[in-house]
Amino acid sequence: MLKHTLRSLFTLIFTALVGSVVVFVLLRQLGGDIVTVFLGRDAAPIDVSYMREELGLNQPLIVQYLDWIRGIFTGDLGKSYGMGYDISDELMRRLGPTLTLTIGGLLVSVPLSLALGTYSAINAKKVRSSFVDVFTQIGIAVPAFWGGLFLVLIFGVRLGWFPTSGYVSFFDDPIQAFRSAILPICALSLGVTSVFARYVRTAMLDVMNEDFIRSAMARGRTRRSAALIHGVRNASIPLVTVAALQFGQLIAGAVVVENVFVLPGIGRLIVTATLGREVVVVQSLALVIMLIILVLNFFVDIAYGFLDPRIRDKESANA
Amino acid sequence: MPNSMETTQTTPSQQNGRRLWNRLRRLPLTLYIGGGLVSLFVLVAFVSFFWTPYPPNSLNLQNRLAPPGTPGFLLGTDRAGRDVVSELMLGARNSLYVSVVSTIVAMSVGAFIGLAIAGSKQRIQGPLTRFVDAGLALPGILTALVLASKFGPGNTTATLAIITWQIPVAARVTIGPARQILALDYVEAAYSYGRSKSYVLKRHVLPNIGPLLIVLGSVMFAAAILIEAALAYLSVGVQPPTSSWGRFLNETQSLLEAAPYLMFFPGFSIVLTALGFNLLGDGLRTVLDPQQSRSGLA
Amino acid sequence: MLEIRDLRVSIEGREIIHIDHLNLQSGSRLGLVGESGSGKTMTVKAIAGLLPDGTKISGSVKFDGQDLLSLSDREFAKVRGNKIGFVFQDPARSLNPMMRIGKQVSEAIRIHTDLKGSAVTEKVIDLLGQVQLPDPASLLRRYPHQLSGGQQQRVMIAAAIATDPDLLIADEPTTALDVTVQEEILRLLISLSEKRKMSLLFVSHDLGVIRFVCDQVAVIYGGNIVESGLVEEVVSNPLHRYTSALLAANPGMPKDNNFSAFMGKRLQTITGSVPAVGKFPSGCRFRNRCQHVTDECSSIPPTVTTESNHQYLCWNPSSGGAS
Repeated sequence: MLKHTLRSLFTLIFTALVGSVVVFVLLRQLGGDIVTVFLGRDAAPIDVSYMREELGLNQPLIVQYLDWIRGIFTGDLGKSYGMGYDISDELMRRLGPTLTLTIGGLLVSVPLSLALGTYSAINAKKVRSSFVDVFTQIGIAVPAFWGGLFLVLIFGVRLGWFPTSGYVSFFDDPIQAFRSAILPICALSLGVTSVFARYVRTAMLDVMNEDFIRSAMARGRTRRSAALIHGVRNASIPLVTVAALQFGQLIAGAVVVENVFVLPGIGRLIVTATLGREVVVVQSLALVIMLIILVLNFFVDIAYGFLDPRIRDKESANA
Repeated sequence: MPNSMETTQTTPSQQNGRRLWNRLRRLPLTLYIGGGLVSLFVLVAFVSFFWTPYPPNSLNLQNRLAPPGTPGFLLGTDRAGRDVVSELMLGARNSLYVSVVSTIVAMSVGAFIGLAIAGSKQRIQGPLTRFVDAGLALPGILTALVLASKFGPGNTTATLAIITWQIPVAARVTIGPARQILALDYVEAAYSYGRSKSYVLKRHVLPNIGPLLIVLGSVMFAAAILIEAALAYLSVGVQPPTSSWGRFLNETQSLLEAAPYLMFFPGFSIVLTALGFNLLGDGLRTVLDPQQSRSGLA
Repeated sequence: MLEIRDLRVSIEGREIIHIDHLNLQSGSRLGLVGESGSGKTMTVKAIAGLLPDGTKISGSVKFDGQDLLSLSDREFAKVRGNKIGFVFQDPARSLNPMMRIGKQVSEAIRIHTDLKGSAVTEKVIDLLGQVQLPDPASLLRRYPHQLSGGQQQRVMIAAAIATDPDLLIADEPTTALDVTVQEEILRLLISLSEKRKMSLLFVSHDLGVIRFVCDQVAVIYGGNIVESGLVEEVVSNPLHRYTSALLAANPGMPKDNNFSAFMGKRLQTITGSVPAVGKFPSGCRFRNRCQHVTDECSSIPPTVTTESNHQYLCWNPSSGGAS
């Protein structure tokens, strides 16, 4: 177990390092100067050199990199040159909408996809499961932004039930917060649920073919209860691995959905910064998001070790 | 045995025809639907190179927001008066271009990396695979945004981003099966004849994972279409005046009150095309490898 | 107590099993022997109600007077694990690797009885002791992978007899185990059957093992019972040609209790293999592999002949039967 944890930790650190170096080198070295990119080619040399000084671009690359990394840990991510805001402050301010969206999306999609996938697997040969299959097939082809637009059209514009944009904090007005969060969360969840439900179905089908399911039925369980009691636990192993991958998709979806519904979250921030060619902002935000994903994956990896008793025992081999 | 006075003779070609028909009948439905949609897409994109009802970007401000069925504009016009059908066709062309390039490059590089990892020494295989897994976790949009902030938005950026995102996918999917094949007895035998690792990978492993790669390609293509549209929607992808479904969709957002029907055209195009490639991949998987019930990644 | 009459199982229109009749008395041990593909596992599934969807089944399987085939899924589940226990072939795969041993052994108890809590735990410890596992209390919280193959199979057996069933069906229980362990498990099954007056339906491809364990035997080929009767009778006086061929492939089966002498030493295999479903030849299903086939064998399927509890399905039986 310890070995497993260490290995996961090592992967985390190593990938984070490599990722950060790649992002850094990509953005600092390749494709021209940051300053020129931002100010434009006709910028006056004095402005260029001033900005370079400001951003510390004249220092050796290693120093720049280390400063940046240190900043990540101390919470100083620098400032947006174009808009003047402090990056880490802005990040904190925008955490609310993004968290509401992603956590809401998780809360909806995980149970829903487990239910749909299991239902589809247990009823695999019957017509009922085809409905689920068709639904998920379409679900993975519908991009979150179109789904969002569709929901906006029907529920926002036509029926007027929910607001079509804007964010209300839960602490300010719970009812309104709920109303404004529903459509974005639905838009985000559609894609994620569909993808994950399909994985759940496959994992459950695989498990249903296992011999111990037959043993459970031989002891007096019906197919359904054998699947639920024995199958789900065993299927969760491969699923946990897949779930980790879904975090990235969830965050990507959040970025898009925030733009559809004009939610003042981190996703919108990074898109605006990108369009404004604010390399410094994008660099730090991208790294922060990447770190979050990697850390989440790390925790999932550890959980995996807990779930499977065979891994737990690998080092301390018994009998 | 039946004893009929009139025996019906079938010619060999008729028998062959019937056999073919029987085999075609047993192919999965997904293959047909997917194949149909994909063919439609490719056809439309291809035709757009030679002909569209109206030339690209023919602004026609007098006829802006014409509803579908307006004479001369089968599906109506957008807010700048551009013909919707032409816009869709050109959007298809763009999607095709980006998706083809990114899928081919990503699959080649990814499969190569996957094979290399599968054939590498036992001790480093584990860490390398985990590294690929970590790469998998990072979303493509992020890469696209990073690239676009420095190099500017555009088709090239979008293509590069999709490639970077899909390479780990292709690599991960090839590692498992490649390792399985390398562990087979007849491959071990090949080593004993003195064949090198790269020979074995090329001649034994690659042909065997061919079907898998074809299925993967189809699915990757669908993903590319969706990402390209997402990036265009965010204005991070292809820029005007080039047409794209994603950007078209973005424009319809402000028109939800004035012309609510408009969002369906690019929307359905994206959905049906992505769906088509996914179904095609599913159908191909059933045909080429009926035993495979596992998902590719988990 | 188990009476099978005219059992027919078909998949996709093809009849794969047709058992005219098969009887198992209370307390006795019946061996069902046949090669792979002979239909023995299918027969077990039919009795258990575990046939895959889309299988047509007709006839009657009377267990303790109740016709199992007329039961719904739910009712069948009440009988399985309760009155009928099952032991399967590969214990490593037949046990849930993620569930503790105690929980799996007690599963049938929790489903079919009202026992709870510590009463259940006590029963499990007792069961684990009955299958001769050392230190049962410590096993409760262990996981299957922490046990050896032989121990795992003992756990399976404990789980199968948990509700004191009247019938235990064992499908190749020792085939996946080490040779050294096989004898112990077989002796355990015999002793359990005797002590609890529990009938045993023992399915195997190994005639030697069946002879060791059972007092009656039924030979199955191509979905038909081609010979049945007392084990000693059938072994010493085989009437169906297939049985004789099986015995010829297993020389050296002395009558004493020496197990190692039963280990299949195959010197002479039966050429060919069991025909696939739907591809049975006309007439007798065994005729393509039979050394003594006659014209009658090729055209007409044989009917059952009975001679004082020894039945066979052959037109040209070995010495002792009517031709």
